[in-house]
Amino acid sequence: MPGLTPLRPDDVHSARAWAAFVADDAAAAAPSSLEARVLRAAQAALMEKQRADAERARRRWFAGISAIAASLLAAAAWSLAPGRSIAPRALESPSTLESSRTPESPAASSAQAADDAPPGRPVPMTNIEAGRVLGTPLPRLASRPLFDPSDGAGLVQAPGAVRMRSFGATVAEPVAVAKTHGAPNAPASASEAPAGPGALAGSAPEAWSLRAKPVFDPDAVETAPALPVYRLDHATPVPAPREDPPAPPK
Amino acid sequence: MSTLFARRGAEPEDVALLGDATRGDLDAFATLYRRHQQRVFRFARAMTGSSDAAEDITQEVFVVLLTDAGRFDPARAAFTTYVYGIVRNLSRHRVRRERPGPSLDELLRDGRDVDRDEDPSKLVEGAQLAGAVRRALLSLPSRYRELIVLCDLHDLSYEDAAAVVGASVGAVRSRLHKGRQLLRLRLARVREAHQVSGEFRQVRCPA
Repeated sequence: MPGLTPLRPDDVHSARAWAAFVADDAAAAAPSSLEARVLRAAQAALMEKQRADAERARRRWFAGISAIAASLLAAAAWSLAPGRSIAPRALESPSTLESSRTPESPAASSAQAADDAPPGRPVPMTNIEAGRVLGTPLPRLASRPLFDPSDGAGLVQAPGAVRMRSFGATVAEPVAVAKTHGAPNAPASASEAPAGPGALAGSAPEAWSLRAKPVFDPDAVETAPALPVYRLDHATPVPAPREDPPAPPK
Repeated sequence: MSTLFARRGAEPEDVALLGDATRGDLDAFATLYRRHQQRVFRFARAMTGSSDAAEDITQEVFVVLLTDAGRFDPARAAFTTYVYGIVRNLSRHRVRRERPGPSLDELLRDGRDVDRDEDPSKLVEGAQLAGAVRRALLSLPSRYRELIVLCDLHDLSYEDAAAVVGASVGAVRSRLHKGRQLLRLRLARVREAHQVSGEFRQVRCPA
């Protein structure tokens, strides 16, 4: 028959069944009581969530307060520690640091260079500065020559302004250097006596030979007269005991 | 215009209602519920085959919407797609937890039970046919069932269905084709069971 497409019984059955299924699904509706039930459940869930949020906020607040209190306690304990008699350099005011420096001193220049140095590199400092930073107690620092014996007030011109070696290496005492600045027995010019490493390491120049290649001569140090060393705990200068010659710099 | 664009015209209002509801406005939540409860209930009922389970899932869906509103990102999907996704996950979880669905033997036995009715009326016959389709649908794997329900019953586009099930459009087309084939096969077996009782006749339909 024209205009009619024969359908298989399976298709007809499937179409009828599907149409019935669609009609049944469209007629399906949630019961009206479900709305009140959902609203009650949502209200309870919302209250529970608000309660949980408040509890979480309270715990976070307590955690923050506890952290602050712990930090304050740690800071108080640190500041009241018995071995902490000298404030570290980091806590000193800039004016204090400026007053402790001489503009021409290598320590000041090295500190300035340290300030200008890019971060991440080791900071060159003198032993005195290192003692301040490390919080070395005053008696220990006073056992070392701190002031220039010429005027008794200025800081010792720090031997080896830039500490070139590790802390574990042998360090020359700054006593010999203190007297060599402007000393009459210093070489007149660099052509007569080449500058040995003592200028940097802090040993006496007479401990170095005048050969083209400087060689350390401990006998020359032995003959050098002992210089008075000023100590913070002494009102008058006392002669420095010199039992051992200073270690040669490498 | 696709259904996605048609729905997205109303999306900002849904999002605003959801925001108000999360801030404690129960009127906004009630409006949101009345707007979406029908499709939520129908989808859950089609997926689980049970009105009771669909009611529970509907309640759970709206509670999840309210408590986990922060998880909805309007930039990622439409609000309706997000709701369908929640219904799908909860329905799958419910079906997996309770029972795997009727077996084919159970389906055929139910078909024979239908044929035992002596004098069925049109209404009863429609309900029986709908029940047969529902059982056949429930016997399908959920990855086919959900796409048949979404695309053929709820008229979602392939793109929207892909967003709901989290698959590509190609995968949706493939699964839908396979699911329809399986459903047709199951319904044919039900019809064979009907033919045993001589109920169905060969008919011709206009083109």
